[in-house]
Amino acid sequence: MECEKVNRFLSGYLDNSLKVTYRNAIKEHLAKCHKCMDELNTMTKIDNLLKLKVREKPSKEYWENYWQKLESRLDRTATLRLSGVQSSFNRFISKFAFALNGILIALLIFLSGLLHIRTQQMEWLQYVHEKTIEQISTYLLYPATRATTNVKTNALRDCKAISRTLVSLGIAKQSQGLNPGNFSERNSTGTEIHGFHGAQFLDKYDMLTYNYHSKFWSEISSDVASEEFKNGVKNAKKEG
Amino acid sequence: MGDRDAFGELVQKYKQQIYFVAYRMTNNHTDADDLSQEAFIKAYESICNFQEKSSFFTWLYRIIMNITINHLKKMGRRQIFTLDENISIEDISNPEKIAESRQLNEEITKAINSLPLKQKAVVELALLEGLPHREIAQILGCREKTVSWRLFQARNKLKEKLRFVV
Repeated sequence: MECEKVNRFLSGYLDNSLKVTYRNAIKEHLAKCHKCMDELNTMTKIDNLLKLKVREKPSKEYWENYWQKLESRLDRTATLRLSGVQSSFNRFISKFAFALNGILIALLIFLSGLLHIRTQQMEWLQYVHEKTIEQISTYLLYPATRATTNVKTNALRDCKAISRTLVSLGIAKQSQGLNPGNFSERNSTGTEIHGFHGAQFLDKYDMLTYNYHSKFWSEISSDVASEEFKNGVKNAKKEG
Repeated sequence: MGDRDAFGELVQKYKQQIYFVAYRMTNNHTDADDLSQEAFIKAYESICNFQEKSSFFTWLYRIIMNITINHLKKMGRRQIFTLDENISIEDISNPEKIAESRQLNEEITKAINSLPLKQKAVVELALLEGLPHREIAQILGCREKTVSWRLFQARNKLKEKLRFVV
């Protein structure tokens, strides 16, 4: 073993913390190498010097009163901790109340928005409920037919437009106790689109939670908001 | 109250050892008094966390070492050489020897204080308390090899500082 390597292990050798194989190898080296042996002796002297360090002792009285002093401190710590917990709790409550206020305000705004949409939906349902199919179809088909006249090349838009109409009419039929499936229309290419398309939507569609076909409903909502529809409603009301 | 009494017995058993760990690290009676008490308070409050993976003494040692090291870090490791009024030096009859002893003591203390805290902790526990490396590793929350390595580094540094004495 080289001296450089041995030096790294001398500390462990002194503490008897090395594996047996290493310990024996170092012992063998030390027997032949004075330089490393001197190094080990120096290390041992330093260890002994440290142990010589005078341990200055407190008085007997100090030790006799130690536990009493500690006990008072334990009592004081318990009291402080309780008041600390109470003030931490108060701070938590204030922060929580502040955060809760913010959440409530946000919730209120959100609910108002929903209420507005719901009100619109209810208005529409109310309207549908009050009018006849013929009256509704006339004014709902208007935007659909507008779309279909231009879409020989755009069958998708054609079907979407008709589907929207069908859903609206389906709602209308349901509200009058009729089967929404018994209704069909022909698109511009002559393909018959049945009421079942509308019925399918109705099955999956939840008016109140605004769920599955929220996009679809937003399209109906935009129809409802359109000038054509509003005029149609006005006219239907006049006629009704 | 039963818990308090039982804990009181543990305090009586270990107070000196815990005090001296803090004292050797801080070289200051007031700090050692304060830190040892703090260690016992912390032990009392977290006694339910003692999982018996090590001995109670090892666990207590760990608490005092952590508290003392944190204290020294906050203090910026100021070195204090005071002989407080309420402590007495062990009996050495010859006045010249007393002076020599104090001088040597100061040099040794200075040398130990110059070590990084982690090395100082290992020197304290291994060379002054005589604890085995395995137990020191448990107290300091490190591996045994780390303890050996820190001791090796500490000894090299001390050799340089105390060469003139040796």
